[in-house]
Amino acid sequence: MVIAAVVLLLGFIVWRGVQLFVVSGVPVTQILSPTWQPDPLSEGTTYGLLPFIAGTLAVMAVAAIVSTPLSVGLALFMAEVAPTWARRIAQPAMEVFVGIPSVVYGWLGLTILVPFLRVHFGWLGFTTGFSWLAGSLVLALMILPTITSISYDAFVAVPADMRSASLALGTTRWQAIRHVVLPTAAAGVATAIVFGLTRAAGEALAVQMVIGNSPIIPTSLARPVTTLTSQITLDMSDATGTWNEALWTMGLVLLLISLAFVLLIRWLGRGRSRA
Amino acid sequence: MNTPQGASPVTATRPTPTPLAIASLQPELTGLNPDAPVKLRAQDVSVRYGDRMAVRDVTLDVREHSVMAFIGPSGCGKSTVLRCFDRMNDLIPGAAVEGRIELDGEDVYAPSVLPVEVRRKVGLVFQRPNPFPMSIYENVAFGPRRHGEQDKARLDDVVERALRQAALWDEVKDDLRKKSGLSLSGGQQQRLCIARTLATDPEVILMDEPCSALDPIATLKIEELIAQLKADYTIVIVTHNMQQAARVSDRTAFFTLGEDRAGYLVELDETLRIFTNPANQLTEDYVSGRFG
Amino acid sequence: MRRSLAADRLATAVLWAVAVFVILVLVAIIAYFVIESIPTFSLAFLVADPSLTDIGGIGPVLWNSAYMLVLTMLLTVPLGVLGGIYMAEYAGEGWLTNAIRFSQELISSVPSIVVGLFGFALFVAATGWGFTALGGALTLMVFNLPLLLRLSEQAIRTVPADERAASLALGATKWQTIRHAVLPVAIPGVVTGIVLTAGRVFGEAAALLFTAGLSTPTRYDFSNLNPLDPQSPWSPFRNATTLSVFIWKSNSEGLGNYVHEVANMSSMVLIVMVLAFNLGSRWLGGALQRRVSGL
Repeated sequence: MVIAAVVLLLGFIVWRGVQLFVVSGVPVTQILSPTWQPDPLSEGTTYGLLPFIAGTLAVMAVAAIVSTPLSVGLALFMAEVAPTWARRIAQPAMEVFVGIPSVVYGWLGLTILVPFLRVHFGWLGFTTGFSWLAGSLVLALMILPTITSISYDAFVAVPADMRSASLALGTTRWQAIRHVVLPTAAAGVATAIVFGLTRAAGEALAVQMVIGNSPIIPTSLARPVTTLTSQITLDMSDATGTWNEALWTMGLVLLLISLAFVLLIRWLGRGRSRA
Repeated sequence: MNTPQGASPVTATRPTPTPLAIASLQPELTGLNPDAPVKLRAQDVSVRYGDRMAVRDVTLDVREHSVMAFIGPSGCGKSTVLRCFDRMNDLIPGAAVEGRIELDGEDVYAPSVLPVEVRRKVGLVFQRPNPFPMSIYENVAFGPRRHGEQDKARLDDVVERALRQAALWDEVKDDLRKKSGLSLSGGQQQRLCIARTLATDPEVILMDEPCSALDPIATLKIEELIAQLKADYTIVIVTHNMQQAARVSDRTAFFTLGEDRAGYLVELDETLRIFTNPANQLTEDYVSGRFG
Repeated sequence: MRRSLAADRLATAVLWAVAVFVILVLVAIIAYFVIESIPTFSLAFLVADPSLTDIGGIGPVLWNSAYMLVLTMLLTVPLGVLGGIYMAEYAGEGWLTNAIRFSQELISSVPSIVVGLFGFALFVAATGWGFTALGGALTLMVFNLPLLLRLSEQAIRTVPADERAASLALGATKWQTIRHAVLPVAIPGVVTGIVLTAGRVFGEAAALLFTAGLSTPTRYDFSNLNPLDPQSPWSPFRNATTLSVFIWKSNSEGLGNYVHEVANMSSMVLIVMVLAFNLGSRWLGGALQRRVSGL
């Protein structure tokens, strides 16, 4: 059943995703063009997906850069430093974080973050507030609980006697964390970050609400960009013909990205079980 | 003594004095020198975990360059007392130490003393071998590195010396950096842990049942090692195995559980006397295997 | 020595600061919605119809969320739990098990919008149903099923081997063992899994955009009990905009004079619902655990 669903899903997405090339005869290389001009009413349609792919990767990367120190720090806090009472607060708080639906994050971004950027950082180029940075910050918040909980598990899995061994040699707690716990849990933390990236790459609505949706190659954190997911969200209901096929191709690209992440996670997991 | 690790304490018969134990009759050759300075001292020490009294009113001295064994039934607080000497009890939430613990006459629990400093002088070898998941070299170099040694040649030197002292050098010298500490056998791992402790240049080595996870041959090697290390270090070893205590130690402390389920020190004497002619009936019962 | 102690203190302070910061952000988010909602919130909001000129309410979309939830769980729970039993008790270590696990991992990382596309192609276009609640529920099942499968497998696997061995030793068959020895012990975990999965149904939006539909719901006539009539609120063959989709939609289309208030209150309702599910699953799991072990 599950396998059937996966095979069906893969089959469908691949089949619909290659229509652009097979049926409409768009050259495969064209999707690497930076120009997105899908409107059949205008002259010379070009189905360049580069802005979307670049946008997805860019938004995802900045989100991970912002989120990783916070979430790994929080995981370390919960696993190594927190007294019991603080852990009793932090753990349910993480569950609440996970539970907040993505549209709510999007709505928050739209009503607080975007105006905030426009009003206070307009001088930095945030003319509308809708921007690469806004998308990344919303995503950073969304992937924070993912990275935190998985790396927390990795830290907790480090045997307690490793820490005692280090402390018994007269190291400080931070030295034990830095030189024993972190290296031992490194593969687990890497897995956590990849899980976070996977979630970031696939998130649609929250990002779409704050990112501005301009199909350009991202060059400035202050400017609107777009992603694969938000373009699908926006155009799917009214795009027809070749335009619609291009959206399916975007879906296929997304699928390939997440497939790559799954394989990466498996590979990291294998490294860990060997060690 | 042909069987290095005998049967469990319950079935043990009174052990024949071993060569080591006999040697301990010559004080100047052994740790029984009455003129040796006191290295460690516990004065009216009680330890609580939360509301529960784990061990109470322990007073004992350990002299420099001697081996003291702590024996007694499970739960009698021998490991708890051991861990007072390097302040590892601090790490257990709710643990409280009363009384006075001295290292070279100085109060280990004084507010001005940092646990980190104490633990550098007082090493601890754990019950189960716990090498870090890194190369053999990195395991041994861990302590010196953390304490600021950067110089590569000096590190190499420290590592080699520690491994030689732990009688592991010949077995691992060819793949120091290639092999993980975890790839060694249990006995080798434990000697690696001893080498790791030696590399931080401690004055005292505490051993918490260091052989309980090892086979008899590996146990014998560790026991030989203890006999050699005594020349340079002061050693306290907790053991379940009475023959082991008899073989390696100069003096033996017998702990047991009181009516209140708290452990206490029953008797402390020269090892030979504890095993042949103890003063206390409880000790007599325990070492002769009549204990519950 | 002094340097490493200073580094230790600094690191501890930084970790505390990070933790306090993150928790404060969370508290701020929740507080924001509560404070923003209080002035306009009333219980009528939960049942009233949406309005373009007034605050209106979220009655129909809330109904749709609940309806979708029940429909999805009806489809997911039997398959998920039985599948979990199979994976935990019968599946060996073969290529099939590996393939199932890999499929599970893959599906859980496929973006929900892609699952939505798939649902659209299969349950909307290929079946000719159009946007329907059933199509939405089937789409949600695509990623809820693997999740529930994994959660119930884990719950069943945590049953100690002793319990199984004891039952088998008494001469019970494998199925009897599962039925009477394993399942009763595993039930708290399985129920927790079900409730967690249900919470996700409530929050999901991207996968429903192109499957359950986006049209603004009109007044529902609950006396219309004909389950095949697309006008009936009981029918699975009708448009069913859920609360999450509604929040997204009212923002992106910006319709109505009170979008801001409605979205804030809807978000709060949504958060409260999802939290209720999470806390509920924990409470229920705990309560069942006590009952099972008490018996």
